[in-house]
Amino acid sequence: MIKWWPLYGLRRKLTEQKKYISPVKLRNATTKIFHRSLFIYILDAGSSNALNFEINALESPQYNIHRFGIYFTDSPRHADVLLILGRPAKAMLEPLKETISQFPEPFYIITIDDFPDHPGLMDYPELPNHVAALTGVPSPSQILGLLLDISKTKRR
Amino acid sequence: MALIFFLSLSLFIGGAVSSSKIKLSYGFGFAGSIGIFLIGCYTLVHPQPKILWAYPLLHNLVLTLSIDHLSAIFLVIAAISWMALALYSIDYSNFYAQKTLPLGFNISLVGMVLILTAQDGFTLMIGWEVMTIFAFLMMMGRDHPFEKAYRFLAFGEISTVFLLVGFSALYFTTGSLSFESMNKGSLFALVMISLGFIVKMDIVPFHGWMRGIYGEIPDNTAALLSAPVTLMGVYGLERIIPLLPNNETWDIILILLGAFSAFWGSLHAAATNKLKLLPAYSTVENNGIILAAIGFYALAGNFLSGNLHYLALFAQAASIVMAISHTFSKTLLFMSIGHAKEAYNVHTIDEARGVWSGVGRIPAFGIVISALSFSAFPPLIGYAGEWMVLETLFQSYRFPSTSLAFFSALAGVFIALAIGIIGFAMVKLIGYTALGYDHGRKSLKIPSRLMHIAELSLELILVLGGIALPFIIILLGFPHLLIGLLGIPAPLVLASGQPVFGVISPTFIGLIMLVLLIIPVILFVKTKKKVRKVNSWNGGVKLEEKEYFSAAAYSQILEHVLRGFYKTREIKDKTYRRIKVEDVLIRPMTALPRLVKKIGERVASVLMNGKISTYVTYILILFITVFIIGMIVM
Repeated sequence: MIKWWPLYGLRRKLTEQKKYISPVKLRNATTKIFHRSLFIYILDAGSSNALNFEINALESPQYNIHRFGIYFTDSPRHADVLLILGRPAKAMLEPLKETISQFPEPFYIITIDDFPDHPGLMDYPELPNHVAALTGVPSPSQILGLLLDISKTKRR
Repeated sequence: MALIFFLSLSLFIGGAVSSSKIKLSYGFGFAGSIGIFLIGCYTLVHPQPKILWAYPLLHNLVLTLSIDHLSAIFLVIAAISWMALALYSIDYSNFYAQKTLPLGFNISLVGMVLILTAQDGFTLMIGWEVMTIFAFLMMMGRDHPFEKAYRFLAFGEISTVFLLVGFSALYFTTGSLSFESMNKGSLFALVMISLGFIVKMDIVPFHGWMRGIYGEIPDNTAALLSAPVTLMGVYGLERIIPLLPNNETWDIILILLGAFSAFWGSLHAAATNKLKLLPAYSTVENNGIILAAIGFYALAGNFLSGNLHYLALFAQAASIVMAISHTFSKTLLFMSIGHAKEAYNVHTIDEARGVWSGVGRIPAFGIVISALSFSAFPPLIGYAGEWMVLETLFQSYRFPSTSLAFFSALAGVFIALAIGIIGFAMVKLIGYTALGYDHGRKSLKIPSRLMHIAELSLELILVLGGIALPFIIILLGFPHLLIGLLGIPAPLVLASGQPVFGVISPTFIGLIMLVLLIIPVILFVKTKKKVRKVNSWNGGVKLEEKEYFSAAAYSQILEHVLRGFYKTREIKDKTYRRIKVEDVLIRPMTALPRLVKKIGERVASVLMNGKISTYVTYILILFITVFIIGMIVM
């Protein structure tokens, strides 16, 4: 006998959402030059592993961010957005500043603070072009919505 | 003129006497050099030979000092270098306060003046020995590198021994030591005297003393040893070649030795990462080129036909222009490098990066200009000199004999290779040391006003010397080498052969470059963009000093491709690995002390083995030997 609640769960959690809605509004207006391609450099400054799973899901077929022209890159010199996961641990402060110094203009910074009350972590240093600050663990759809807001790409 | 000459000499001696006041002593040296410079300039314009001093020591030996056109040329070249060095040393003495430095400086200048004005072998050898010994005194820097400095002295004495044997042979055949009697000299005298001068020029088998010592001696000493002291060897060859009877085989040996020396010097200049060893090897290279030109001059001088006579004169002019270029560029290079080295307090090319932004514009510009001059960059004077030498060797087909043509062309191949490789080496010096990125390194504040004046004046001379090449050629006494061609007016074009084979006009090149440079400069100034400088990306971690692209990495490709010459090998250690290259030709020099030490130890172990019976036997044998010798003598 088929129960009804797995169907409910699949519909709510595991399928792709029709609309990608960002949980926060952008602090500053962004440029339109990234609307076909946006390259992201991820810096795990001190997150729990949860955020990495969410980011990893973005590249899976369910979300498939590449169809929007959004890619991950291994060098800040090729990137347009710096995605900082977690608040920085003490040893990560210098690498964070060094990374920011490598970005080509224009660039934007997103921070996701997954554990706001964690005792051992430092505050963010002064971040230039800090367009969005998220707290908690956002879903992949929400992160995608934020990225699409930044790149000003049409949702299809 | 004799008055100014002896006044200058007494100024040098006054400088030596007052060597406890170091700056005053160098000031005396500067004043004396001005006197010598004035005498040289006067004689260049009025080239009648003039006897300054003559003292009949024995009935057939008259010690003579006189000045003629050739002396004047070399006096002027050397005096400009001395003036710059003396001025530079006044500031430089803040780092090296040894009193032996100004003493050695002044007296070795006296020795060089004696060499350049001597008219007989005896006076020349007095000057030679004075120069060598007091240059040795100057090598006692901060760390007193005795053992390595003795190597320099040993090579200096080898040179003196060659000269001694040569002049003895000359005396044996002619009964006189004066230069006028040389035309009756033998081949043996020619070989020995030229070997004496060649040893001083650091030509290849005799260059072994430089390795190790150049990093430790003060920079003004290095400049003096590398530029004016080797110039004395050049002068000696230029002086004796037209006098002594010539030999074709020896001339060919000179050409090949010079060409190989140029090749070998450039090869090791390209491989080294020491700040001061690179210019030292560049000295070997430049003097090799000069020696090849002198050999060609001697060889072509044997033939009387119009073409080859012209070629001989052209080769002589080439050797002198090369000597001018080498003396000025090398003095400037050592002064600028010394300035940077003391300001950073370092020893290698990698450590002394970014002189332009870290130390100052003038020393950096000095390194750039002198290195460009060594890499034959038009319109600098080094370009004119190296073009002239290559152009001379190109025309070896004019010789009637095939073997002469072949060997000269072979020398041309080596020299062309040498000029290419030295360009590679000089790019290292320019790219890393002069114009490199300083990585935020701060230099010490040092008093440098006089250093700047000395460097700036030599920089000006190097640039203007190339542009005013026709003027220099006329002053050197070769006005017939200059023609007018293709609409360029008469004295501005230097022709390398008769009929015309190749021509250059550095003056014209300089003018064209000046005009053509205006457009890029205007474009650069108009469209100047803001440039942001960041460190190399290393995963967020800052690069350490050893992780930069180093000078060793730059020259590694050459060391690998030419591993047969370099004996390149990898040295594996527990903590690190590195690549080592070796100068094979200094092996005999390093093997000799080892051999002496080994023999000494053997003899000691046989004689002084602690047994009383051996001692008694030794003393007994010695006594009997002395007794027998005494009997024979009685």
